[in-house]
Amino acid sequence: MNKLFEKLRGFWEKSIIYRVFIKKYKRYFIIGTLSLIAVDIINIFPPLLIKRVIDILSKEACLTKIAAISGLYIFVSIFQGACRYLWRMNFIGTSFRCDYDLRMAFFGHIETLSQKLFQKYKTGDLMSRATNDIGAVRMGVGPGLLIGLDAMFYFFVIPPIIIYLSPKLSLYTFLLMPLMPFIAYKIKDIIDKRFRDVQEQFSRISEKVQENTSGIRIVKSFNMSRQEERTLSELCKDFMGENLKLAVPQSLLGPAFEYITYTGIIILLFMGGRMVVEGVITLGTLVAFQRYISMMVWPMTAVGWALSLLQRGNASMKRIDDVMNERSEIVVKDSVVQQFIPLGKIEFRDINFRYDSQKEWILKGINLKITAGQRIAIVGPIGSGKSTLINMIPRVIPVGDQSIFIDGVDINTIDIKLLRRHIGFVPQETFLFSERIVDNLLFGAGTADSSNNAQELACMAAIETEIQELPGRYESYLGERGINLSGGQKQRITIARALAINPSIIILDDCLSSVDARVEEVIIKNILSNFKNKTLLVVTHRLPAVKDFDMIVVMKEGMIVERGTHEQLIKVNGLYTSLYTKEVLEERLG
Amino acid sequence: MEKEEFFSEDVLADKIYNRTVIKKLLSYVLRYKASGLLSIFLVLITTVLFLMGPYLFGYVIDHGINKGDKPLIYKIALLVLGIETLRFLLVIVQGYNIQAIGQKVMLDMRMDLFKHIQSLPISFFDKNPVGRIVTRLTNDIAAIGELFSAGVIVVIGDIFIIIGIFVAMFMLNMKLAIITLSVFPIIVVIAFWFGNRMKNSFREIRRKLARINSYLNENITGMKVIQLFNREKKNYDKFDEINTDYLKEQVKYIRYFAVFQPAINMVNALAVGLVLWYGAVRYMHGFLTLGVMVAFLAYIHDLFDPIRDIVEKYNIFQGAMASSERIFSLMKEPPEVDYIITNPVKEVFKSDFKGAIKFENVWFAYSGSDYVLKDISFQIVPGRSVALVGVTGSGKTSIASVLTRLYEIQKGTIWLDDVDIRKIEKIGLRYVIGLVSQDIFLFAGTLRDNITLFNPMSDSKVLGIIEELGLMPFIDRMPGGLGMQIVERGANLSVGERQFISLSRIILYDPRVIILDEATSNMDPISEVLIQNAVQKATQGRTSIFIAHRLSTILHCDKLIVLNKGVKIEEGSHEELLRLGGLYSQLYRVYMREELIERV
Repeated sequence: MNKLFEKLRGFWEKSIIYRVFIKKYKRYFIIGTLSLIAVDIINIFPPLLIKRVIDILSKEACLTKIAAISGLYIFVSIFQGACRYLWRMNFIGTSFRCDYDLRMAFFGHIETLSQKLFQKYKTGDLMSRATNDIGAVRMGVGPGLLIGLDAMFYFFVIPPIIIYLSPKLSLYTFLLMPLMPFIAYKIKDIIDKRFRDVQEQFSRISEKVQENTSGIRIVKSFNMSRQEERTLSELCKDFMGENLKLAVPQSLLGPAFEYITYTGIIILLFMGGRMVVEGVITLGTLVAFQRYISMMVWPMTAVGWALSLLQRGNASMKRIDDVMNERSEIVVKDSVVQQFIPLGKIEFRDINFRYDSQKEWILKGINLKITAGQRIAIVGPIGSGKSTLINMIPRVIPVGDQSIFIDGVDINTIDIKLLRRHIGFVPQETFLFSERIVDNLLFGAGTADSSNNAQELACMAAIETEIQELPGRYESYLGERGINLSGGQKQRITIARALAINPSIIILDDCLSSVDARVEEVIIKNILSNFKNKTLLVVTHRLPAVKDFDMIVVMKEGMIVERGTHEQLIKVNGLYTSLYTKEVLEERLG
Repeated sequence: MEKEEFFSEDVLADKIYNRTVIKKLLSYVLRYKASGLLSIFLVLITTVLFLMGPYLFGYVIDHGINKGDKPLIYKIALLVLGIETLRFLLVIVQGYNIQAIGQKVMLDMRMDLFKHIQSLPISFFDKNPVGRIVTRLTNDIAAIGELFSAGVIVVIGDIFIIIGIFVAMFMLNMKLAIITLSVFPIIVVIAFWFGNRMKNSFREIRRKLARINSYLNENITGMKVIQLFNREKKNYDKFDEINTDYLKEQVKYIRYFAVFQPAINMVNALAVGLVLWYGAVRYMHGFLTLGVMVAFLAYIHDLFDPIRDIVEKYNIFQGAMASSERIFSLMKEPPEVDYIITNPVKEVFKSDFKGAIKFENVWFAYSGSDYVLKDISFQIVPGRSVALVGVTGSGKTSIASVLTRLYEIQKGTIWLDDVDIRKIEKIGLRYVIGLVSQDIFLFAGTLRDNITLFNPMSDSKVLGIIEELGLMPFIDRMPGGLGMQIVERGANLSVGERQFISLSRIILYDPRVIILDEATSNMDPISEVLIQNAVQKATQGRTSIFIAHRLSTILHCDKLIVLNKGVKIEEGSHEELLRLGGLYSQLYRVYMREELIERV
């Protein structure tokens, strides 16, 4: 018994109704439930009042009584209206609060997740969890809960009153009613199944259209349009077929309920009419019964609906929980270093790395010491591990303990925010936010700074003149509602953004691919003169731009194969020399 | 891409009663006149049948129950049973019929739109993200479908019911009808007042939800940057702001509903109160029977549901109108020049064209006057091969694009044999000139589908071609042979296997001129040899243009054309160019050296 109770409690505490709604909004739940009960109890009265009027009219005729009853009818309805307002605000209104809570919690949580998890969950997947699934949970705790409770109260309230009025007539007229939940269940089952088929076919159409549009070049080059039209037409015809299959149970459901209700009313006429003639019941009772029969349609159909909403909500909650239970693999140590302003000495100690144990090694035995204020270039063919290596410094990619040291401190022991505070990182993939240019420039620095500062940064990144030419200058919005910048312009803004935080270590991860070679040289010179004592790490394939660096590290297949100054490496006449001559030639051509 | 999608939702048109939009929509419905007439007929019949119920209930009270006439009671009960059964059946037919019309309209619109999109120029696809086009074809069309499955006809039925109840009431008892319906203006006022506010609020909700989604999407995509710059807190706060904004609007919307619904109910109660009181007065004066009064009560009960329904359906209508507007404006996009979808003239062109190509002072820019091809002239003799050499951005790929007229040139002329290609129907031109593009696009389907491009063709023919090209080893290592399923864009295939599909594809397509824009790197040595040999065989006897990614693969070409920044700077055979000692010879030396190092 106790065990059962425990089990029930566990079940309750896991259900979305408790977790999402009641736990947090007990007060709203209670007010809502009370007003719902009031509404449902008041529902009994209108038919009774009508019965009263008809019975009075059938026997004597007393206008004052009738006026009083009419007045009472209106008054009761007003009171009921007020209660209706309360339940809607408390249930549905609160369900949107839950919706808000869930979305905020979800957002707050994914902000703590590391890059690895963003590879596991694609953007579309996370979006669908944050929109569709949270929406389904809301439907469960809002309409689902409300409809379920409402139906339950109807069952408590109406049967007693009709049995009180006439047990015999209740038996006859409600004979077929229990069919409703059964039919509802059966038809809903079919509808659900066919609805899924429709959805699947819809996504097939969606995929086909997506494929066609992405491959439009080949479609046009190979004159495939008519083929494609035929394929899509087949899919659409099937889609229509599936939809029409769904239309059968769908157009059956409502009329079936109505029909059952009406059979109840016909039985009422048959049996009840006779009973009135025989004087067993009054005409008023007959009329009241008619009302009660039509009232019972709702709870009968609502039960199934509420259950399916709750089920869907619970299923979606599981999908949300999947993400919420993910933990970032970047562990925060207990003994975190809290005070840290690095000079910029970096040491890589024997780093081996691969994404998982089945995959190939990406870095093999990397050892590298960089003194504070040094300028280092990392070069090598695509896939040699350059980017992986430098992404480890701000712990975008996690490393083992005792692997990377900044100023002699293991980076895993430094508070991650503190660490990142001092690293100006420019990632390979250019990403700007659809906000004003100045917001993007001062993204990490805080917008309190004056636009003078933004201008200075833009100058360093050689983008100032181009911003001045824009209609809104620094106030111009980027992205879908505003201006669209070229790839090279965007890249230069990302550089300014990294410089804006006044970092001790500046890292450029092959971020100038769309920038003209001469402009790249200008930017690097600007950085060198403005950030004299800062450590600078540049991954690039434009070798002439980094010719004068303190050290050039050449990587190949996860290993450092050559290192030294430009002059030293040219003498070696190896991979570097080959890459360098090719680059020089291409720049002459381009 | 997705961002765009969300924002297109955002731009809900204000003037939704655009007449041309409604006219166009109607033209689709009018294709199904018979079904349309049937559904209007059914609405009328079912409404009348529906209105019979309360009337008969009142009638049986007056003439059966109150007079103690049991047989009449049974007769009427049976009549009601008959009427309800008939109505039950007709409503089902009606429901299905409307769905069928809606589905057919959706099918027609979707296909028309798709056909139109097929005819649009490549430049359209450059400007419009895939996501946006897909939304037009899927969700926007579905929103119009909603009109039928849950909207329009239901509303028409509702209006019929309201009118029918009016008529029935007046027929039963004029004075009581006037008294009862005196509440109707109140309802109209309430419905309009709330209807308008709910409409605006709903639009705001959509706009704010779109903002949430686009912010969320952007932040998920840019999470790395947020974390690198310690912006978690700030962005969380910003999200909170957007989210709260949305919550407030939602609560406002709910509040409208929470007031609107009880308000309608109260007016309903007022009407009932009036019927009870005034009915009693009339009854006592002998002007009204109890049965009529009961019928009135039932009619009032049925009058309010349709009103509520109309107000609530308004949102669906609004959404569908906005979607229609977007769809029809896409249909207005001008199609590609000379794009004729009917009348394929493959055979004629096949025999007619020898495959001589001549570029004469060709200038081309993707946009404005940013020319990527500048005054290019060269000639290719039928059956000969030419290689285009140059670094990325030199204009090699653009030459392929203008030759198949995926893009139109601005100045100069391109001749195929002695015909200006602008005079050739595009379909025909694209049968003559086949393009093997750099990223090999694979369709969802079998290996066979991807080689035949869904054209019906016997396996023996397909295998014959593969055999001829010497590519059978590839078929042998594919599980399931030609029937192998290609998963999403060919994620399960190696570079060599993709090349194999692409080459077999072009040979089955059998064009006079082949453009090969293939990157043959990253292949295992055995595949590379097979593919190289197949390329040799495929280009034999055809005019072929190679876009060079690695110099070693084009040494056999009859002629090399060196491009730099859209300008032709050198032309000649490999030996001639080496002797010339220009850019080509330098490039060649570097590439050779690189190959050497890579092998070591």
